[in-house]
Amino acid sequence: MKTREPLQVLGRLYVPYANWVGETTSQFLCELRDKRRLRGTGCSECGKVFMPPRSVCPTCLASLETWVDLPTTGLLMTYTSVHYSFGREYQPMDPPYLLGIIRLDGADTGLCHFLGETSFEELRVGMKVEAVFKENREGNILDIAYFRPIKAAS
Amino acid sequence: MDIEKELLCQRRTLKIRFRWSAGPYLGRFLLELKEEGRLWVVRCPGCGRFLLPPRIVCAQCYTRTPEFPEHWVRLSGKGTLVDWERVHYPQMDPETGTVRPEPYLHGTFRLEEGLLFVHYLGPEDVQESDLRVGLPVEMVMKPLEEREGKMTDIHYFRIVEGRR
Repeated sequence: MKTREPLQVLGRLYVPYANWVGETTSQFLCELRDKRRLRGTGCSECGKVFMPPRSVCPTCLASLETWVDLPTTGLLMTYTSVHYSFGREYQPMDPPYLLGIIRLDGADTGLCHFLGETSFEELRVGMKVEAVFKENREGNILDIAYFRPIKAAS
Repeated sequence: MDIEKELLCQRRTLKIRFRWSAGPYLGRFLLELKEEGRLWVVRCPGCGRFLLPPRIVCAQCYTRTPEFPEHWVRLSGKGTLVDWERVHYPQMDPETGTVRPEPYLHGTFRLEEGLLFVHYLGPEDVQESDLRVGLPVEMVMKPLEEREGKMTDIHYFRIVEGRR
């Protein structure tokens, strides 16, 4: 059979959705939005502090009802530079951008976020970083604009 | 839970774009609909049946049909009203993520060539009290610049005026 392609159909799907983030995350994001405060949850069984907060400890299966105030500073555990573009609809910003996993001081788990005011070459595992908040906060993890390295006092 | 605590909801719209090749049969059908504004069918060389949309193999006698334009027939786009329904159910248009205004009319039409065809019954201000089974109808296409090679390039079917 002769193969011909008379027409390519250009398709599009728009899927609006609403995601209720739950009690624990709501409380976390409201604190972030209203008080620029980062609060994790602590496990009364094993003592672990989770950032971002969870409602149940994955090890002990205990309900995490204790809130722990955490500073906005932490250690950079790992980082990467994102160059691959898979569409503006799926990425928070156009590449290239820097992503890191930050363990806040006093927390036991890592928070994934952007790294700003720095370069890939400047980054080191274990360096001290701090959160930079947006002026207009909406109750979203992106109310933190990014984390930046704490420059040594000169 | 404290009833006064605020619960947050995050709203987003996922936008997905894709393209697919419609193939020699459906592609030709949609291309002619888009560019010429006409429906085409292929006539089965085995049993003589019209296949709408055109297919490679007849579903009843399994005869292979030839490619365009041999055995392909252009339909007039005219017919009669068989029945209609008023749709009240609000449905999301998956292409825009918005809800289609309702109610709207949906009709079944017996085309001159004998085929049954289902599409919207328009225009928007059509009076249901004016409708009768058997009234002559005709296909109304969207303006050429709005057509995309989809079944919705047909705007609607309407009652042919002056023949009530």
